[in-house]
Amino acid sequence: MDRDDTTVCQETLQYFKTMLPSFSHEAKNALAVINENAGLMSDYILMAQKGKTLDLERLSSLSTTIRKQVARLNNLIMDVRQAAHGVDNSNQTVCLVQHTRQVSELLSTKAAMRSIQFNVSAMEEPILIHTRPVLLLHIMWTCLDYAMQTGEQGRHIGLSLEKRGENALVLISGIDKLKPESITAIMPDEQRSSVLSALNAELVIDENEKILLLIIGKHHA
Amino acid sequence: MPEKVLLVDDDEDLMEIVSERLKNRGMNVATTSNAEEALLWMDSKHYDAIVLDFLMPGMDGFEIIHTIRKQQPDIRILLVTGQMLADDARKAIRMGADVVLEKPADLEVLVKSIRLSDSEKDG
Repeated sequence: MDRDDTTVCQETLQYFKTMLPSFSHEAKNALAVINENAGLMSDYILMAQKGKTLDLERLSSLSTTIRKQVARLNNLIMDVRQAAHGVDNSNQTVCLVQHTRQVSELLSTKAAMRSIQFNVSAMEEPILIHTRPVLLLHIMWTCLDYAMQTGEQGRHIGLSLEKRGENALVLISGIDKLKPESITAIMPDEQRSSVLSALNAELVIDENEKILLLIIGKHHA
Repeated sequence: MPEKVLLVDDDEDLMEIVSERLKNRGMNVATTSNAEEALLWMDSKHYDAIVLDFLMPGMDGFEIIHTIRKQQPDIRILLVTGQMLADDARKAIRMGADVVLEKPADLEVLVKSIRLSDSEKDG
């Protein structure tokens, strides 16, 4: 195993280390809502046993909430399972739109803590790329995390995707104090070079537009 | 006298249901999704207990525990959290929290923890 491979393995582990606490937090919130809704239903049953009329509309609304949270939890679990499978096979065909949604959802609580909102541009058309999924998630996560930590709280961070020729682009806007040296702050040189090389990608800063671009090249499915 | 409880959580749906369940158990519950508003209310009103989501927007959980404890030394502070390392839970207790509950929390444990404040006062 050469140095690049070792770095890629370490960065893969790093992704799971940073992502799993966010997953756990989101999952526990969903479980808490399910738990309290089920508890409230039990309260209503006890009240009904004591002669109080059941409010069927209210019960139906509780049941809808539970179903929504189960769907939310199921999506989270599928995302994590997909990421875990991404470790086995080095290159897979994945949808960049889905990966962007996944990262922004898992980072949503962290963003809310800093009163930051992600403005994700409507991305209905799938953008399929052949890539290393976990490394892609990792670099997207790292870039968004950097965007959140730099500058004022209470901002909007823009997130959009583009297909430009042979390349797929992830554009992150609304980052304060973006300078060429920010690249090193996002990820140290050695790790970044290995990860980007494995992804056949490039990280570029547009200082004027305050945009961070992840350009993923050539490996289109 | 019904226990006066202040419920603070940025997940409004969850807060509404927990509030209803505590009211069903005879408690007097006020709710807010804003930590700063909670601190303002506590300036002018007395509560027996505050049930607080540890992770809330624009708020340092440890700092708010410290502020609440300074404002109302007798209030019972109950933290409900989706994720907290053991070291952080110990720190929260050192800063003045009485109980740390992990989500999904058992409501009956929460109720018992709130009512403990009354029995302590009575004792």
